[in-house]
Amino acid sequence: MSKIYGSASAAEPQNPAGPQPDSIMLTLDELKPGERARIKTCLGQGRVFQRLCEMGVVEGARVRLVRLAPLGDPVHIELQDYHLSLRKSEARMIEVMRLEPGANGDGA
Amino acid sequence: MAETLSSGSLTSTVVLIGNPNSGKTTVFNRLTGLRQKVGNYPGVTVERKEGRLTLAGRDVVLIDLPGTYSLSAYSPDEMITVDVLLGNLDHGRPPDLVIQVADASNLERNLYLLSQVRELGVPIVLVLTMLDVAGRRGLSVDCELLSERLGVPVVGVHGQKGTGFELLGEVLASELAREPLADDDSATRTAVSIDDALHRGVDALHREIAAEFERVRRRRLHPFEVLRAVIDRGGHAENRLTEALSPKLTERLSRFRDELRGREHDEALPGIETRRRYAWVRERLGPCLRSEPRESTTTWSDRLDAVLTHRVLGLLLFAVIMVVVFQSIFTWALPLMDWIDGLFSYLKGLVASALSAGALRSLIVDGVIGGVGMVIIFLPQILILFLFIGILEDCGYMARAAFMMDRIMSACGLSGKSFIPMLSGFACAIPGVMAARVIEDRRDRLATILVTPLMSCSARLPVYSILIAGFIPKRQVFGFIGLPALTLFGLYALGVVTAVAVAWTLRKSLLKGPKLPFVLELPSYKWPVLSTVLLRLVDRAKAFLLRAGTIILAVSVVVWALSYFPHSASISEHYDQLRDQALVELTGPGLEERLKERTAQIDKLEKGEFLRDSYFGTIGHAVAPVFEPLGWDWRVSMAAIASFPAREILVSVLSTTFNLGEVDDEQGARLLRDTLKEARRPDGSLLITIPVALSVMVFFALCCQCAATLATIKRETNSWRWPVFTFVYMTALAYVAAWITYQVGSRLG
Repeated sequence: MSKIYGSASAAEPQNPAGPQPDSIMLTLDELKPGERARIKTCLGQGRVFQRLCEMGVVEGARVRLVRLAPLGDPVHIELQDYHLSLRKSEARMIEVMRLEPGANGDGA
Repeated sequence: MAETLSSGSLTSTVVLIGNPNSGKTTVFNRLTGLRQKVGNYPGVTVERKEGRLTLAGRDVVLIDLPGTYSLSAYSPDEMITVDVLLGNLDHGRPPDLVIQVADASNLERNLYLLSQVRELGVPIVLVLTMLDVAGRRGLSVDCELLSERLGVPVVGVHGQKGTGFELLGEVLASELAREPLADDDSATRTAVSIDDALHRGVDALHREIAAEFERVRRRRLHPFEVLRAVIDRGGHAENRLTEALSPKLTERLSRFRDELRGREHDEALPGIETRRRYAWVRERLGPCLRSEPRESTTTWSDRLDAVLTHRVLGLLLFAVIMVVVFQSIFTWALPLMDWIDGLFSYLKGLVASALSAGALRSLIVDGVIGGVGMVIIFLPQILILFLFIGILEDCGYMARAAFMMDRIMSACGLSGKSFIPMLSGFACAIPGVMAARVIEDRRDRLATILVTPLMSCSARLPVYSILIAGFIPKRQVFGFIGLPALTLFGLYALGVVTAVAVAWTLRKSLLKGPKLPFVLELPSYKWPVLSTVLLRLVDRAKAFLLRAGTIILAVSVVVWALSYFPHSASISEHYDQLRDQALVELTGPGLEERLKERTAQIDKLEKGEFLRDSYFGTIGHAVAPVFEPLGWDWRVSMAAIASFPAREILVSVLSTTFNLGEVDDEQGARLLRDTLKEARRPDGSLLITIPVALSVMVFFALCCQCAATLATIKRETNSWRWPVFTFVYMTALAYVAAWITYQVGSRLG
């Protein structure tokens, strides 16, 4: 398993309010519909991992779980400004930090 | 490199690239209009789409590459994009210009691709689409600043309205007229730095192997290919280098990756690459984007999704939409098909009266015109299905359909995107097979293509209806379900169940392989653009007519030959005698009527005997023993074999064999039914009993008797292997299933 550890790149967005005290680390598939989060790390390897990273699953990216498909799988997520369908097995590979409702993660 | 044609004008090559759903196709269509054509790249299933335009007196060939998020490549299909951009397919002549189309409402992700394309050394023009969508989200883009910070011209366009294209044309013309910069230098000067050790190693490796590679493959090796070989572990770039140079390269690359990995973090190279590139994108893009705070973040696209992918309502609406699509096909296509049938009968009549009887006339009327008719008759279904698919896809609903169906489909070893192609198979497998093109994963796509013909298509219906009406007793079962309806449903269900079983088996054996991540973008809903949909429709129809059409025509001529020859003189003499006799015998009132009747009858008998005597008949007799265990006699066997090129032929072959001539209408169908019911074998027993009828229908349900479908499979997979495989496996399945049906059926009595 590979992990992305904290990076010191100045161009990556830092949460201006510092680490959120009430946010919990969980995987993307564990979010409830409507909940927002910030991506922490992307686990996994191989093609799946690479594809997810290329699509913008990088640390700091804003994500929201929109809903589950009628049959339970896949999940519909909103990543940054666009929408993706991800199988639960793929969503399980993404570690996120849940954000409290009202804090959508950036100043806007 | 610009080529000078003999006429003295210059031709430039421009390549179009961009994310899926970025509006790239609309830009392509706007630039090239109807001057488009589709071909194939050798060895892959990716289509080569190219168009022409004229810019400031310059001829431009515009090549449309498949939508992609990144230049990483794990399969030959994915590598095509890199190859075209580097000019690997054109003797090392890279294109003169690259146009990247980017969705302004999603710039970060779209520019990831740009960060890679920049490193290939080809001049770029960035075209921004969907600025209005961005605007509605409160995002505004400073194109001028962006152009400065990226070092490429940036032009905003509106695909649907057509604004910005004049400016784009000017920019393109001026970029093409510019002197090419020294390539390699500018690329490395501004490439995104991923990891210093990585770049040093890649450069060193490139220096080492470039000469050897050039000797073996006769083309230059670009450093970007080496970069991909290192980062994309087990990817296509690596395979290519290993194949060309030495298997030891794999180990060397492995060691290099381990070295890099152990250095700082325990992070895989792809992860580092994406992190660095996105950092670069954000840094460049940041000052150019302004976002205004908005009250609510729900767009109307979100609201639509809440309904259309709702747990209950979503599925319901989906079912309704599917029913509407299919009902329309039957209501609209059938009349059109009848009309085409009529047209071709008329043509046949014209030609028949113009030529004198003989092999040539029969060849032209039955072989050629009949063959062309057989191709054209598919057009209404193909066009209507593709119209619907095009509209659903363009408005964004198709992705939602795949989203909702994925759970079921992946349980069968397929993908969510397989649903629509397979469903289309219930009308006609051909558009279904063609629609499978959207499935990214090569193995999923192949599995879908190979099982779609199992869906009981509309051509099987005439066979089902005649046999069910003739032989299935109209009893009720379970109190209210009629046996005929149950049988029909059973046949359809058989197709579906078999398809699922075959797909699952294929995925576990022949097509075994890791599943590609099912990461599917759900684009914002939008009004479908009619011109895009229509252009795609025309393109598909052309593809079908040219590729599949030629094969079908060839097959139909062969079938004609087999059913016409030897056309022995002794038979025609015999029946001519009967005709003369009729002329002599019939006298008295109503002469004309009775003469016409008698002649028609004699014609039918003659036709029947010609057919039974033909090579097809001989084949029928020869293979009869093979089909004996299925309960078929030689006449049924012959008809089944004759319908291999096209199922619908069964009905007319059967009716001709039994001296009934052509079946043109309800009355003819009923006549055929009754004749078949009464027909007996030489030993007196009934020719067709319930078990026999069932075994014929089961055979038809599972057998691939459609040259048109096989031809389409060949075109979509770009190889003969798969149509042959489809034919073989389906025929084998059909035989076994029909055998079981007959044996069990006759025991049950």
